[in-house]
Amino acid sequence: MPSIPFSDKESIIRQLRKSPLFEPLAESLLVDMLRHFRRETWRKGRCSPSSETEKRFYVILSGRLKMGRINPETGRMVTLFLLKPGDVFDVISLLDGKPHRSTLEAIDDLELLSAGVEEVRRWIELHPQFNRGFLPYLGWQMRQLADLAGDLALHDTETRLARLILRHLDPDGPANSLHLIHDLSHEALGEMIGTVRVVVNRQLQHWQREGVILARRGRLEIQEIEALLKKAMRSLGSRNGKSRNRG
Amino acid sequence: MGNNSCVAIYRTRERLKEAVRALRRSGSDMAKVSIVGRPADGGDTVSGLYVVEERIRLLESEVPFWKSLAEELGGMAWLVKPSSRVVVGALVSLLERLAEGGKGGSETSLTEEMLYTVGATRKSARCYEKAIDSGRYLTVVHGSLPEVERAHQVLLETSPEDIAIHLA
Repeated sequence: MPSIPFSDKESIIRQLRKSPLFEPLAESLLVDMLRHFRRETWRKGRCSPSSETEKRFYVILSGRLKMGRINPETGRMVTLFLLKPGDVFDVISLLDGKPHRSTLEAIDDLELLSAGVEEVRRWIELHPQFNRGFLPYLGWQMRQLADLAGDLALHDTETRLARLILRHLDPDGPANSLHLIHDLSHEALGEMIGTVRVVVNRQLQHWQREGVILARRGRLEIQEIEALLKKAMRSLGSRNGKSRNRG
Repeated sequence: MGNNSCVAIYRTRERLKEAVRALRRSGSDMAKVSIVGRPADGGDTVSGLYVVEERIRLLESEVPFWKSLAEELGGMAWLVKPSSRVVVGALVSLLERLAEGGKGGSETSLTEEMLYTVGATRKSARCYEKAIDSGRYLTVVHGSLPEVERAHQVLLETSPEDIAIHLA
């Protein structure tokens, strides 16, 4: 009997190795860890409160997932992390064992592996090589949150949007191409920079008229990266300074 | 109909039957359990088993196996044409609704639609179809998240070739 695609251990290990947490691990350890993982799929659009998932630790094998916070009174959401294949969640609950008030939304169909948090805590204790991947990943997540907090406090919407786009330049794609956010809705882009759909829409239309970006068929492309860089470099302080000078 | 499911794949009929027994022993709601597979020879040329509105026709030698499963899971079975896949149990009523609604047209099959409706992604559903067509059997338990998680725990102990949870 031929093997079925998703039960192929080697292919799952190859996918796991895309994660910075699992990439450095020995094959034998990965095989052992696989015994504790459960394979899951989440359909595109699935939303779940983190209370549903806080007892498990997830590795994304394919697809994108948005982790955010919602204001229950207004329904407004801010995206804390846009997670991609190789990313894991929820690191915060894993570390402090407390519920994390966040909402998860599958942007694409997702393929995931999940393991009980107690088991993953055991890996942290027992396997220094797992820790060596885990700590830099934790640092990366903290840096993401620091960038978000800094952007929200220090920059205006135009600058935040320019910085968001530039942070998602595709290092492996053609020059100036984007990844992860290239096909997101204006609403989703707004949630990543603490604003709303209409503001993003207006800004992108303005940049399109300037020839800075091209938005067509639901995809975003950069036309003039230098112009976008200039917009990203402006801070709220310097803009206010300009206004004062003008005044 | 819950739109989440746990799907386990088995290579042999013995393992499949053991999985059904394990679910029953664990107190699972058998009204949410289904089996999908193919007759051993893939044929539907000789009549022998008529379970739901005379829709299922199997070789004489195949009758006892599918009939016993159908009896175990509420007496419902359906041979899906033209793929010759057999569905037994709770998902038969879903299949009927999908067929009446004109689903399972040129681009998707009825079994793909059925698995999609209980939470599988299109990609997973197509993989399951390939698994069925290569002689494997699926045990599908649909329901709420706690129900499918519980089914996963039970079925994990029955040595499936693959097992996954699908959430929609």
